[in-house]
Amino acid sequence: MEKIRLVLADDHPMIRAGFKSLLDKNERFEIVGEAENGRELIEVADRVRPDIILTDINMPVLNGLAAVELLSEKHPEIRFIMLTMHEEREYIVNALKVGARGYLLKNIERPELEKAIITVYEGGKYFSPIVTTVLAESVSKPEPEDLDVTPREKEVLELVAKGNSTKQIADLLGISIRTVESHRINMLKKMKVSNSAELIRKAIELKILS
Amino acid sequence: MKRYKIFTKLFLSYTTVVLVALMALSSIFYVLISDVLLQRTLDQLSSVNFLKKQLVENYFLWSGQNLKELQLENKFLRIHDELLQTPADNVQRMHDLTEIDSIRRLYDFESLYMFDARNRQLYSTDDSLFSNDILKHVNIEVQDNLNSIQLLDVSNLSSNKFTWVYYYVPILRKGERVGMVLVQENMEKIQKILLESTGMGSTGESYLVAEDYKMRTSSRFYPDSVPVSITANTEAVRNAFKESAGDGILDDYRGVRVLSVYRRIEHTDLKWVIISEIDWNEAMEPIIELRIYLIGVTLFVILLTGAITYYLSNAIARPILRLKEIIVSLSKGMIPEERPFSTSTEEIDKMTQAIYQLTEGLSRTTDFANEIGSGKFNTQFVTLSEKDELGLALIHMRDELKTFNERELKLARERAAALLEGQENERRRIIKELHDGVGQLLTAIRIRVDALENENELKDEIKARINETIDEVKRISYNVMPQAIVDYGLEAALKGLCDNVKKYAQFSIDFRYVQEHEHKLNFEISIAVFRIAQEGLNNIVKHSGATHVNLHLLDHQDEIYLILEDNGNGFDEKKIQFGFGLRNIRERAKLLNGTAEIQSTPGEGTVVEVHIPIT
Repeated sequence: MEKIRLVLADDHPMIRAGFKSLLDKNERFEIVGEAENGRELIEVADRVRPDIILTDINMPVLNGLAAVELLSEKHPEIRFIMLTMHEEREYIVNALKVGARGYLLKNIERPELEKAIITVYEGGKYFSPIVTTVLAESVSKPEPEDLDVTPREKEVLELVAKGNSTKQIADLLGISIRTVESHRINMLKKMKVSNSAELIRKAIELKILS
Repeated sequence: MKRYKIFTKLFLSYTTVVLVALMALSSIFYVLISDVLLQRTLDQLSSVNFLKKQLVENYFLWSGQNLKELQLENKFLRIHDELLQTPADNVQRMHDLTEIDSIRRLYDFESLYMFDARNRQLYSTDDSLFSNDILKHVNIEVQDNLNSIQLLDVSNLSSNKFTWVYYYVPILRKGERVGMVLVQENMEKIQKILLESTGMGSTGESYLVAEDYKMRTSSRFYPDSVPVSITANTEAVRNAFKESAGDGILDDYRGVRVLSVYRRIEHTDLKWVIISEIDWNEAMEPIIELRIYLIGVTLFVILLTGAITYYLSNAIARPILRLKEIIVSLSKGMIPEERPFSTSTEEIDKMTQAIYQLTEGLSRTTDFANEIGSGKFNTQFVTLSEKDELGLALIHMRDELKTFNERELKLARERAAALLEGQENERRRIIKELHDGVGQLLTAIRIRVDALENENELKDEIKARINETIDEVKRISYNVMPQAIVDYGLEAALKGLCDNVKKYAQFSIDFRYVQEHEHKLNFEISIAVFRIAQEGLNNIVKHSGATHVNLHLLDHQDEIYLILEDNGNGFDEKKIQFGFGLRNIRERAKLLNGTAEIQSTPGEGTVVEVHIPIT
């Protein structure tokens, strides 16, 4: 069976050494190169053309995401797996955006690591279970829009649409800033939008505002 | 010099002026009126006196003339001759005597006596014998002028003290006296003339007095006394004899004060004076009434003046006294709260205004000083005038303090910012150490352990412990400084924070980040907001017992608005001093010119509101 050629990128030699020893146990894997930052990773990749690159995100000089973005344009045939400590949504989403096919946390167990590499090598995608949870949360099934806007919320909405600041609206309606903002957030929630501009657009669409 | 109160001064001066004026007017009025009255009364008396004098004179004149005519007709001579020639019982004689009686009656004489040349009484109308004394007296009186008719007053010889006045009528034959007739005048008529008292009131009277100072007509006041028994040696009588006519206020024969007018009786042989008098009291009665009336009016006016003056003086003095009170309290450094009051006096009104301006100015200045004192250096102050030295000094002080304060504040802020910056830098260094050192080492160890050949339970446990340690290090390093805030900014960092908290907290978090405006927050603001949320969530975890938390951020164009509310126990703002965490929230907000409001009600949770301006 053909060996899967791997490049490891991590700014910590010890981590690289650790993963290397872990991967060496499987004969299907061959470590063909190592890099300790993004810049070096690009050079190594250009030179050795590995099948899969396992890279950390936080690295000096050029970080993993930037390097992956550049390399996936340059070498579409190379597949990327992020191997990181970050489990925040932003990192995961950005990794997927730049073309990563796998997102693994560094506390991964050997069998899972092997499974992930093989899955990606065979054209699939692989994410650590925690990553899947985070992703699932952010794309969870949207609740149905609640278009039941209260008269007071509508009042606030109209004043927002006219370009009034929160303070002006609070003064005009004789309520506190906090109340105005909570009306605003309630409407954002109800209409499933992320800011006032979208809210107004949607309200006009739904003929709540004229 | 003794000092009087304004009130006393005003009161005294007003009252005195009015009193003096009133007295002067009253006196002048009184004197004028009494003069007029006196003059009028005297005039009246004088005319009465004059009239009566004329009547008396005329009466005597008329009697005298009648007798003269009879004499010229030789009536008396004829009767005289007949009486001498005819015997007593002769009819002719009776006829003659009847004629003489007729003459008496016709001319209304008291009685007639006829004598021959040797003073033998030939006849008398009342059949009485003529008094010898009087006859002697008559002869003495007439001896110088035997052939003329004369009027003689013999009252001093009268037996009954009545006034006896006789006409001596000589009986002449061819210029030779052959006898005489003595005609006693009927004084009742004279008496009537004089007693006529129309227009003389109840005390007015006219009477005649002879040279012996005995009265010749009766007194109104002594109706029972015969005239000659009354002596009237008065000033009026004396003056009348001395200077013939005059008037005056004198004492009469009774010793009563009277207005008196006196004249000598002329055109007769009688040396009499006629006097008309009226009691002073009666004549002056209107004046006395007027005096009482005037005194009444004066008293009334004095009382009225007193009352009005009291009121006026009070009205003038009261505002002055109030102003005095204000000035006294001003001088003690107190600012009276009295509002300006208006008075009817322009000057006092102006003074009041001026003093009010003074107090108001002082009050404003004091307020201003207080404001400065309490650190409100933005308080504006309009000086009381261009040369308001105190005001200008205060403004100068305010400006100095403001500059000083601003410099202090700026320095303090810079120091605090530098401290925080140092802190954050230190944190970055620490997490780098943690991440690059401890974290990586642990990961490497875990991988190494994983790579160990022999599989047993101990290996799994060690891996599990190492994983826990790595998680703990990650949590710590996230709290110290989230990498996400550097890489993806505030929203990602807060999201991570919420995810972290949710792992071990008992509440759900509704996290909203509303990006109203597209812009990149600078790190200083991001880290501050992150720390505020972090502190807030820490507090909720530690103290609140909440089941739900809202963390909402509104990222406006000009400010970040953060609201963190929980449905926990809350606390009593009055009792519990803000903890270290809440104080940190305030400090953080303040350093970025923002504000943080923390409201809590026991049992209803806590709300933290933060505004941070974006510069």
